[in-house]
Amino acid sequence: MTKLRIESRRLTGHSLSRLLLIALFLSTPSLVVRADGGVVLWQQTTGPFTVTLFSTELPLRPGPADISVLVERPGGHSPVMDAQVSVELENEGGMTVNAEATHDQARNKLLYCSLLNLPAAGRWKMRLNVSRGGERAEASGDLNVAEPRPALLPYWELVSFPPVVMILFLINQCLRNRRTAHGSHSLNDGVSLKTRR
Amino acid sequence: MDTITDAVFSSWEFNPWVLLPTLTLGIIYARGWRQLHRRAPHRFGFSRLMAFYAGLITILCAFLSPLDAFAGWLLTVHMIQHLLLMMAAPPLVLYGAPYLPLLSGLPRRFLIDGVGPFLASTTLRKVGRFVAHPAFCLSAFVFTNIVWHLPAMYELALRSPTWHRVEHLSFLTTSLLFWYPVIEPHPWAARAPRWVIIPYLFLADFQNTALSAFLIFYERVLYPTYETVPRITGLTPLEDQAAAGALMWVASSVFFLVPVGMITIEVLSTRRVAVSRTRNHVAPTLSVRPERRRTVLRGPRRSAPLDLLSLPLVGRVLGWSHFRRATQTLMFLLALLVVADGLWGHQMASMNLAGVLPWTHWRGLGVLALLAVGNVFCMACPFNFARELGRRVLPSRWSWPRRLRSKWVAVALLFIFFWAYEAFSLWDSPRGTAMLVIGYFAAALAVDGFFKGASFCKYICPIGQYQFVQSLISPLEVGVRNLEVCGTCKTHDCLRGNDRRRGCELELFQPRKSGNMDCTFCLDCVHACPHENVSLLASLPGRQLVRIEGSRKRPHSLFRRFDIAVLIFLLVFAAFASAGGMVEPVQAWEQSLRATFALSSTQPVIAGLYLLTMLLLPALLVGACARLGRNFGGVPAGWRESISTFAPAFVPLGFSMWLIHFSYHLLMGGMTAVPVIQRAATDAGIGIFGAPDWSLSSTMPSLDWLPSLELLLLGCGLLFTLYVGWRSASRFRLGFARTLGLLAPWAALACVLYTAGVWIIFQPMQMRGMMMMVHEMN
Repeated sequence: MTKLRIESRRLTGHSLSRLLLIALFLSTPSLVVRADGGVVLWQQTTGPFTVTLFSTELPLRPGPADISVLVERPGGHSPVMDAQVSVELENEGGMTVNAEATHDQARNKLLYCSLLNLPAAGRWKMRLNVSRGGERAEASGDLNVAEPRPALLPYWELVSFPPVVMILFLINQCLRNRRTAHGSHSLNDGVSLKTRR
Repeated sequence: MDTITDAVFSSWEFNPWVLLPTLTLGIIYARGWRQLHRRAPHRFGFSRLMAFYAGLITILCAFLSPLDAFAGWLLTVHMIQHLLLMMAAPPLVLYGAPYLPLLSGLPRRFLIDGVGPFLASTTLRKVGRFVAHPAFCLSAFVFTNIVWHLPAMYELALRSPTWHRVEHLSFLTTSLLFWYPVIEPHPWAARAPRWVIIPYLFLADFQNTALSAFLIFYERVLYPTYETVPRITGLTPLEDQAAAGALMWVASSVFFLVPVGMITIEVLSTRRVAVSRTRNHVAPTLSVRPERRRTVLRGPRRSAPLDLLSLPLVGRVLGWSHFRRATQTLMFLLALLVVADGLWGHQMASMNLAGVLPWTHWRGLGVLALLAVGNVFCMACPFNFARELGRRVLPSRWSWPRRLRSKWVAVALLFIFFWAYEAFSLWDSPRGTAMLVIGYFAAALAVDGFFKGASFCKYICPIGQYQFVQSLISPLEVGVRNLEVCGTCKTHDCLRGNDRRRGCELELFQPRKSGNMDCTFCLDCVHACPHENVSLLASLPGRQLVRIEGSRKRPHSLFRRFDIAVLIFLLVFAAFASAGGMVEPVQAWEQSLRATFALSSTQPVIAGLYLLTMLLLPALLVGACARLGRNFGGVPAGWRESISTFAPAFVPLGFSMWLIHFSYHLLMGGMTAVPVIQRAATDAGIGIFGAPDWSLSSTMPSLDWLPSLELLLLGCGLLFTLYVGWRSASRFRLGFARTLGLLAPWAALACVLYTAGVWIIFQPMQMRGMMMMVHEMN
């Protein structure tokens, strides 16, 4: 094998390191970023408004939930931006949850968002009150809240990062140990980051 | 929102989980680029820097801009987002030639010890050769593009945030792979002739054209979600789909065909080919030195620690001789207010300064100060006035008894304090808190009134011991600027003092001092040193521990002492026990035990539980770890030595739990101080603060990010503990397997504590110091 080919191989071997490094760094945002949009739960035309109800994920589960509402004029593509929206939830056991929905809490500022804490699974009756000036409307529908998932499941990235780092560290130590055992003190096989002028 | 346009353009998300990693990446790149630009400005010019940052900004725009908010409503918007991720960002990032700048920007030791072994791995290189081949790059790109545009997969991503992240991740990763052979970022070794890139791009464009044409000409809506969402524009779902297809077709073709043209010209130019080949093969910048295979990885040179006292403004303030007295006066006045309100104010804890300031604010701010600064509490300790008074009015001439010159008294007092806090609900008793503060003043006065030196601080004060141990994590440390100067010093004023200033009351000799243990940040040594060689030095948080545990011969006997090891373990287990004591399941368990044993109160149960979790269980577990570690590692060290060797490693884990616990109270009840101060002022006849607004004490802030942050902190604590533990085990210079064996039981103990911490984080919490009682974390 010619010297050139050996060199070429060595250098292309570093391609993975390069790619993994960049991919790892650049993937970080994509791993943690919140998804867009949401899922439409139901849509109703009531009084002077058409209201569409969104949730970030289906099915809803006990715990923090993001319920968002789009208020529009029927028939057109004109969202109503200055309404007051409130959300009321009641389950079969008489438990109630109330919250105001505002633009401030929403990522998509066309939506009115309320961050609720759903206390229990089951069937909930939901009522939306929308008012704007003298116009008022009420929409209602059912909301199914599924049984809770294990509390740690939504945090799997954060729970799994210590074991991943531990494994990488152990591999690192194994590689260093192997190289030391082979009598080489070099960690990078003579590869220099020094740049030629 | 005034108008729809305003609403659309204000739909940005400032997500710290995205911004902070990207910012870190940008800083690492800039750090590395700066060094490389100095050495090779022609290769790492400003255009590289600009391109890399443009790439990062493009990625941020794709994830955080209104594009992301409206991607679920309009396929066209979603298509723009994907084009940014696949066509715009990767070429820009790669044009920045990020490999060398990112590596050079990493901390030197991490680069050599952390990344170096991976870069040198032959297995990884084999995988690298496979993955870096243009055939694989093209296949991965095309495969990903087609699979994610299948209706089932696209719908999955739209309905599940997790799958959506996976989709974005795969787009970004495969695009980086795809554009690598096209851009050839430095240092690049070509695997195929340059002309191969022309059919490479044509093939990608062919696939893109086919997919786009399908989107444009298909007569039904491919992705049903877009039929259900509200239409905020005049486009029907089918028109939206066609528009998205057209956009994909035109924009992507431009991205594919422009490079085709450029590369064609490049290939047809013989001179360019020759230069290119020479550059890529003959003069690689990842230079190989077969004659001398030594590490030449060059990271940034190790710099001297930041010297705070030499900074213009900060140095003057900290070096002011009355600085400490001023901070102590402030804290002393606060302590007097707490005592007065605790004794004579409203006895509901959440309405009293004594129920709120010490337990919610002082503890929370104290632990944050430990993380960000250092042992600030001891520096501004209000009890110093009592110590000074004792010295003036009482004889203060005896030496502290030799038998008690250890941490054992402090260990006992700490245990009693932790037990009393829970057993007598001190957090719920303003009068009890006030009495505790008065008792503290009395003890400081009595001890330093009869005994010389800082006997109270060094041997008695439980708060001081907590601060000493936790400040091993802190970034600031009182240390010497130049050890050679100390070598020529004969007077040792930093220890003995002089006519102007006293020396270190805690008998720490600066040249031999290691870490913040027993250091009250009084800065007496700084003022006493005639050579101005002692200063306040800054380094990374936790660096002290790494240095102490990493040194072959631990220079300071402090970390070989068994009493200090016990103190550390008590504080570590107390962190988990005291946080566990406020969660509902534990409190329910206490009540059920009381009922089972027909006890009139929970006091004996709490005493039993604290004995179990802070003394018996730790003794059993730590003893077992020492025994097993010795057996597995085959180390002849005694069990005491083994325990004192590994004890400092547990400081980060314990600290992370204290940080989680106290900062949780601070975040939840931070605003409670406002109405309480208003109430205390009104009671005292001061009306300027207005009437108390109690809604601030009963409103729970919405902190849905808190569990994530807590898990992150606890995970970092665990990893740091394991790393310091590894360094401790490595000091014995055993082989890899025996070092692992020696560490394994201690690592298992750390993992058990981490698991307990995770469990605590997800339990409903008792809201101490607030008007509501229980908070469901999740």
